[in-house]
Amino acid sequence: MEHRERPQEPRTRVVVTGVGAITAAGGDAAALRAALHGERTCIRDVTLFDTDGLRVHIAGEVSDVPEPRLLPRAARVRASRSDRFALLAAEEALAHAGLSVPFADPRRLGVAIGSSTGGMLETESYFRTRLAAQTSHVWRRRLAAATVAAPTDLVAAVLGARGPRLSPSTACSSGAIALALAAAWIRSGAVDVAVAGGSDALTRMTYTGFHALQALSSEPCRPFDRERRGLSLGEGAGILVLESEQHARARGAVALAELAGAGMSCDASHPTAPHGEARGAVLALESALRDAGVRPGEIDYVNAHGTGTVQNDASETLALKRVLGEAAPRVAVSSTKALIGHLLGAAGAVEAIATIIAIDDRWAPPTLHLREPDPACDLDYVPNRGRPLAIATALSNSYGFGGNNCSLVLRRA
Amino acid sequence: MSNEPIVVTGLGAVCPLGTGIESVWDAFVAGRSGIRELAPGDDRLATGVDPTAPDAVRRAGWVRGFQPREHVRSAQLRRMDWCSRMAVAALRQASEDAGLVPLDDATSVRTALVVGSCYGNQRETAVYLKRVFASGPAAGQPLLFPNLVLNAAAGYAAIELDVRGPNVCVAEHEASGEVAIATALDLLASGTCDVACVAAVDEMGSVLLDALSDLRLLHPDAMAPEGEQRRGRRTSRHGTVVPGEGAAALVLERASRATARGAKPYATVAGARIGAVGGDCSPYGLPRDVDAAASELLELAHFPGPELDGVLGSANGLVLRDALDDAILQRLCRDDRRPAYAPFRRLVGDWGAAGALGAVLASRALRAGELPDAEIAEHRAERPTMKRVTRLLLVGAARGGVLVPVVFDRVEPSARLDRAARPS
Repeated sequence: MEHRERPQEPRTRVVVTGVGAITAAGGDAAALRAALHGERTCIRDVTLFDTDGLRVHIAGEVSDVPEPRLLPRAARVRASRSDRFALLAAEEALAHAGLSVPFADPRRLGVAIGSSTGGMLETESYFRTRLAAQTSHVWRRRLAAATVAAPTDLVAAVLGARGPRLSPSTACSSGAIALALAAAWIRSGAVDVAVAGGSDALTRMTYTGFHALQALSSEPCRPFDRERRGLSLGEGAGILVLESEQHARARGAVALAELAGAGMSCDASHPTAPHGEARGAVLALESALRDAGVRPGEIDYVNAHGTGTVQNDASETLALKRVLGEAAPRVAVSSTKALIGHLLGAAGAVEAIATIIAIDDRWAPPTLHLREPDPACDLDYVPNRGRPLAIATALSNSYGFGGNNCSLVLRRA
Repeated sequence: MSNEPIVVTGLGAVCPLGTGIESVWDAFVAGRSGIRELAPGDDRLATGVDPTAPDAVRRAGWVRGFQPREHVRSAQLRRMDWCSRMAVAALRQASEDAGLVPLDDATSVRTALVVGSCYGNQRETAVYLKRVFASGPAAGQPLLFPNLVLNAAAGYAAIELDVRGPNVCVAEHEASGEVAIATALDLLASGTCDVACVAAVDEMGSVLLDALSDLRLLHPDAMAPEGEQRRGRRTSRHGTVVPGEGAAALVLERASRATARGAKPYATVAGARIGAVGGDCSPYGLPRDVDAAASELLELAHFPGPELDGVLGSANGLVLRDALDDAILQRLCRDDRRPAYAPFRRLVGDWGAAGALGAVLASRALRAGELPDAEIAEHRAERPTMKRVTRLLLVGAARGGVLVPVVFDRVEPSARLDRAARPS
């Protein structure tokens, strides 16, 4: 990759001061941390809906969804599973950041939560009830929370946020794009703090859809493996508290990491398949490095999109080799999707949290189920067992339907 | 961050008033309504629970006469859903209008595409789910599924126009169009892109009509022979709407760039901000304290420049949305002079992303230097009165108390090039 000059104007540094995650690994970021240090997948049989007739029956399903502490009584009926995930993760992230509700200056608080399907699980139930001509008052009320903007709105309402709010929906890159856009708010001075991330629940629509595309693996996914057969879906939420470094410092908050840069692009070639030469992924990676003022040789670790599909893993490997150049073979690359599944709209945010944990713990998480690497995937994927690794700067990649690409640069604070 | 002015250099629209900016503008100026009843056999109703039911609602702001093949070049057209077809067509119109077709490589990677949508492709979603529920989970359709994500239209548009920069789809209920514009402005200001193609789209289908009916938000006139959406005719506590569908698109770019390539801006975007009011919110509208919401919105809309002399309102028949427009107009009245007021949803119905159509109409009105005023239109005169305008406010408002004002300025013909070249 041609090296470009670092940005000339000093700009506001965006730091992460709190994280919250709910995944198949458990109800908080500590559970995710434990999973990243372990060697066992959290992907198991789906119980949320019927998978009879399909050849796949597994996913990274969240087994226990407690009632969020801050969930208003009036929202208890209409809040969707995605809404609850988002609020649970936001509660944890705020507590981690040492911020309390109500926020001191609500106009300086923004909320950006990405989602690919929002309240679709509940919409499906509404639709099924309508088909059976059994409409009920409960389902009518739940319809109000059926859009992809609902998790953002619920979290914003609970926090009393009066700053900008945004609900990016760019399929599997939604969470990463929410982080990129929220960081831009902080850099522009529009807000001091942003609660950002992604949330998605498993739905019949996505499960049967990926199954119909023959993109689901009947066994827990095996990213970068020669015998990989597709992805494993997951669900959950990842929420990060982003702040300007100045604001964090003024209130004595500990910065967990810096969100140093972001790059977004589009393949503009096919609705679902990645570009053959990975041109969009390359562009996103180059833009992210340029935005962060980071050279390819400074990258120590990459949290890959790594879905376990034949095309994605090969294309992502190609992009990393093109952008990181000579440094590529010595960079640790892992996909955490074999641990918790592909969280779709939440994946980018949860994987950003996994990357921060990796930086914090000086630990490269493993790519599980990698027995024999595909010849087209010839990087160091940290197979099956994590290992200690000093990580100063890391990348997290997210790619989605529509040729959507987003890469984030995270740095030790 | 760049403070350089951002200008609108291209417009496109596929909506109940017509296809193409000039036909839409002509209909708007003439006060023609795009709200009509579909014939029972129309395939746009075929996705409903039971389209043959006697109470199935068919009256809405439907797009008609739109021929996607006349606007969309991509081989992907046959795969595209209705929502994507409208959005891609509007974006191509806007890009061609701006003189950006075809994009060269350097421009392509520095061009962002931002699409706003509230519900996306709900017709095919209904078809898909109906089949899965009727025939079992294995009946999922592989060709349909990729179209069901909200950003399908953004993906197809990127292919159609070869836009390889940031590709973002955003949703914020009834303010999805205004939020898309605000997001594009952020991307331009941060230097993430040089050009932003912005669109917002939503389609109407019988599932959404059924759902609105279940929520008791459907306007009773939607069943009447001449059911034009009008304020003050409500049967429920919250009010009711006539729904609609359509897509609208704008090309935004830095003024200096537009000048350098000889583009003729329609208007300058003074700014857009996303905010919210707290307090007790109606589930379907704004906080019950409309006065506070109006004050907050005007505070958010306070950008340097002349006073506002025109408003494209958010009124859609819901009690609080109509009251918000009234409260804003009251605050903008000076010496008994009321700003020009155009509640455009009255002519097209309301859809989540209708705000982008408001932005398109605002930009076109500023090129003309005049906006049709609603007072006359309400009394169904042959043509609305036109009022001179130089600065327009587009009122974006959504459930949960979200407020998104977008302010546009006129580029005086004699000053167009001078202003555009002004350094940041």
